[in-house]
Amino acid sequence: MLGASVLGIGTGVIGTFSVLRGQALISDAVSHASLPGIGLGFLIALAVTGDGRNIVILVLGAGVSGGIGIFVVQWITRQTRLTEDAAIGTVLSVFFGVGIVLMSHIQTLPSGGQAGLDSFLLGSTATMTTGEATTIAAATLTVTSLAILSLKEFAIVCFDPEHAATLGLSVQRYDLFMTGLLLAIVAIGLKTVGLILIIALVIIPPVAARFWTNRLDRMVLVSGFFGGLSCYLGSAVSAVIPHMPTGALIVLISGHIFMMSLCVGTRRGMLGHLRRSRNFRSRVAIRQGLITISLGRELELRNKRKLSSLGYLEPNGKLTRAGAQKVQETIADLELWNQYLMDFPDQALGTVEWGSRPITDVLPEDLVVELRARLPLSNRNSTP
Amino acid sequence: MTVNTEPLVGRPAYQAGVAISQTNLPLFVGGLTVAYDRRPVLWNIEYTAPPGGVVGIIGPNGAGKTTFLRAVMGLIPRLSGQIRVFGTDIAQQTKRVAYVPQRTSVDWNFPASTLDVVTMGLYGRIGWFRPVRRKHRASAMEALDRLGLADFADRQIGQLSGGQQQRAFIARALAQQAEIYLLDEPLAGVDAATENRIINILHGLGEAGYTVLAVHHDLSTVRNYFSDVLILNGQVVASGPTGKAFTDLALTKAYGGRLTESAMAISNAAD
Repeated sequence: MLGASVLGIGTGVIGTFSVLRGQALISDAVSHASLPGIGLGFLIALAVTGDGRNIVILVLGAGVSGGIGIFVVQWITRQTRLTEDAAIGTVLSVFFGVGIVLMSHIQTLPSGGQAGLDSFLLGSTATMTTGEATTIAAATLTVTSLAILSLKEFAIVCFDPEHAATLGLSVQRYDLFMTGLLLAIVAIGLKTVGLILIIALVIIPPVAARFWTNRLDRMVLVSGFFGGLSCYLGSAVSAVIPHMPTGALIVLISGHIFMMSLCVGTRRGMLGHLRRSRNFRSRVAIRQGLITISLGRELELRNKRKLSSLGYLEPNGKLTRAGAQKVQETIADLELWNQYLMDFPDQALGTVEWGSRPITDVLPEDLVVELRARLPLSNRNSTP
Repeated sequence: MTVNTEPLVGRPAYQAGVAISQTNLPLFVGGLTVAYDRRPVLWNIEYTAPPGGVVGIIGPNGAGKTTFLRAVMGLIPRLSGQIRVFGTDIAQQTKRVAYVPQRTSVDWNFPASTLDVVTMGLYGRIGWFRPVRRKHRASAMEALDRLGLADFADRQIGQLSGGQQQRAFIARALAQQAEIYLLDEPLAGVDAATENRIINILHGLGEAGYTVLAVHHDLSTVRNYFSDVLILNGQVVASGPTGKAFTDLALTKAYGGRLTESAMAISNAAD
């Protein structure tokens, strides 16, 4: 479980950069393209040592054949007019087909040990030895630290690769390094999560993390945390319930984390967004209604309903005492907002919900005092 | 286009090259040709930028203005042409040249603050695996302040207005502390106040002895904004001080029948 958790952190961290570089699907090509390498690795290990289940050879085989897969995808994209997704689809299915043929051949061999190969497809932590877990954890930590140390380089290449090139930075080298780390983490994670579902661990944690922060360094942290949590819980559940594939459970849990983030995430979560925009609409209705009254014009129906429900209007449409006071307050507040707009147009127009909230709730007190001092004299009296 | 008519026979072939490398001019572009799929966009561009000045690059759509900047920066392959910065190849001088792309060239949803993006201008001198230090952030902050964006340092870049994003890009170039600035339509889609502010910054750079090249579209402001012009239409139509090179003849050559009479009237009125 420890090995799996560390692995999740690693895929979360590296996945962040892949997603931001627009290369999320590359990891799918890598994982599927690794199957022939696993098959060949098994055959080679079998020939050399007599036992095909040599984890190092299998992972190396996966890495090499995944790397060839990426290379072919990039070559096709560069040399032809095909888009990257078409190239990925082609490479992924062809390599996977070759892998399946190899696997079927291996199943017919008389020697034992094929059983372990299944875990590369769907993942398993149950069959993992302590030694394997430690190896996975150590390898993941190395790969992850390299990624975190390159945060600055990956950030600039993801945001504006051309700008990076004009600074004399080698975009190609950083891209290659990033792809190499992705390849490594996928190869390391294959046995735990399985090659069909590992793409989920690379993509879902960063995408979920994006709902919680607007800063890259924090996104990397949150994504690593989500990845680690998914793997920890997923392997814990699979240890309790027998015959449940670990990979699928991990993905199910990360899927839940994604749904939760989508709904309640602090930065772009849907529920928060809905609630805030509903509140905003209601504030606008109240303000616009009060302004309309101060101008002596007829109220829009929805604004009238809103004001009545707040007790600012009597059933016959006359202002109540509270309503009258609210009109005055609002007009005074709007004068301050206007002053702010005139003196600091840049800041004012960039302020969320400007004009629709009491200015004292939004701006620091000293600024409001200053604005009040700047008001034309005729208006200053009306300020409460 | 000037063609040397002196007899070339018997002259060492490298002589021209020697003459160029001896100059210490900020930016020299020689024999530049760029093509997309066998269709030349720029053909035999010869240009020498003045030291200390703000140059407007003008020309009709498709004249190769953006291509010119990108080819100089090495962002697109050159079929031919040498780019020399202060007498040496530009590849060795990347720190001294800053490029400001069009605002639409990046994804503004990227998880980064305004300060983060401006700090990226310094990444060229920090080095791989080395952290961004406080002094780097401080000098990025200074650049932000010069563009009047200090209050927006912590804001996610997508929450800036278009004009502010443009200014953030210029701040990123200033943070690089270069000596040559290449800007692709820095005034596109910004309001009058921002336009003023950006032009003042560019003039400040020009007066400080730096060389600024900016792609520009509004012919009516060319005389007020730029000390020099480079008029392109696949080739160099005219270049030099605005007073001499920005003429009706040059504009007619560059824009042909596409330049309407009212636009001509504007360029005349500015005389």
